Amino acid sequence: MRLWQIEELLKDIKSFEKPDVYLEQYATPPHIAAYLVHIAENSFGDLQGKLVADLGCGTGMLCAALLYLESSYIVGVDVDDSALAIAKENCATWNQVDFVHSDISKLAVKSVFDTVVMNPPFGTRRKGVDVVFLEKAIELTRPGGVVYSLHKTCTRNYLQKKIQQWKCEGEVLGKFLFNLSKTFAFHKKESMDIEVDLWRLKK
Amino acid sequence: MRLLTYHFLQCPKTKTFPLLLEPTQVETIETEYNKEFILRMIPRLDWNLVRQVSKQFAFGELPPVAPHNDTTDEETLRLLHKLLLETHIKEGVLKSQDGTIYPIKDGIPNMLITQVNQDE
Repeated sequence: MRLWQIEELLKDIKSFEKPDVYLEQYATPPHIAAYLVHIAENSFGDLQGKLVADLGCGTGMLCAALLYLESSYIVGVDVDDSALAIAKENCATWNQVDFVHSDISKLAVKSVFDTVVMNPPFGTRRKGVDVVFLEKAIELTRPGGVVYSLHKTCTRNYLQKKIQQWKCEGEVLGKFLFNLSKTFAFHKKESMDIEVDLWRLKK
Repeated sequence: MRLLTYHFLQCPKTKTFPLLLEPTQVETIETEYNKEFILRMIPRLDWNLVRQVSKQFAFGELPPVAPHNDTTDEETLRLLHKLLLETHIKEGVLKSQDGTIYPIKDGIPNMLITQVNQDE
């Protein structure tokens, strides 16, 4: 499937009804979700037939993207049950997704996943929560597995050090402009663009 | 929640495994058989637990040793497919050894550590 085709399909995904600012609930833009799964499969073969987790899945944008790339089994995890109810609807035509209601920092799951994908909170409301998500993603991945994650570009050097500490390999695959609507922007601006890196980590 | 997911969940408080599964509503939803995927999942499972769950859900006795990659035991693989990928727990509870209860509602296990869960 071509990149633009995935993006078109993802435009139908229902988003948050009442986004929670504290949880930094913004839906992953379809073009970024499509890019993530497209490169993960077509450049690295990390999705098709794989066991994949989506941490902080929200309303299931990335889960749906994974389904288009034919992941065999997907587990979406989120702390917000109203988001999970929408995610379930968004993925209802498929039969490959399970959802788990859990706080990501407390999530206790065996290290079995081939691949973990996520668009974690950037840590603008709760400092360091982005790193908590990343560490959990690595924990859930089996040795040799991979993690795809989006992080603010300004944290790149810091993450590089963390990734070394965790004895993983990491590379930035691309950079995007992420538009945060008024709900999440500071200083009452209508909207605000922030620079975001797409990381690929290998355990 | 399908039974494959159940085989990966630990207690969020004590990190113990497995949780005790007590279903009250179970549903079977057919899905395409994928032999390769089943074979790849077998080493990630606790085989004794799989055997126990197979009996619990009336799928019968599984061989004492997990099938290898080059197995010709198609029957066992088909059974694992039905058990792990087609059996959905719609309602029920997961119980930890310390007594904590995690409810499964509308197919979604609630693994939040809350006061309610502790008191039950």
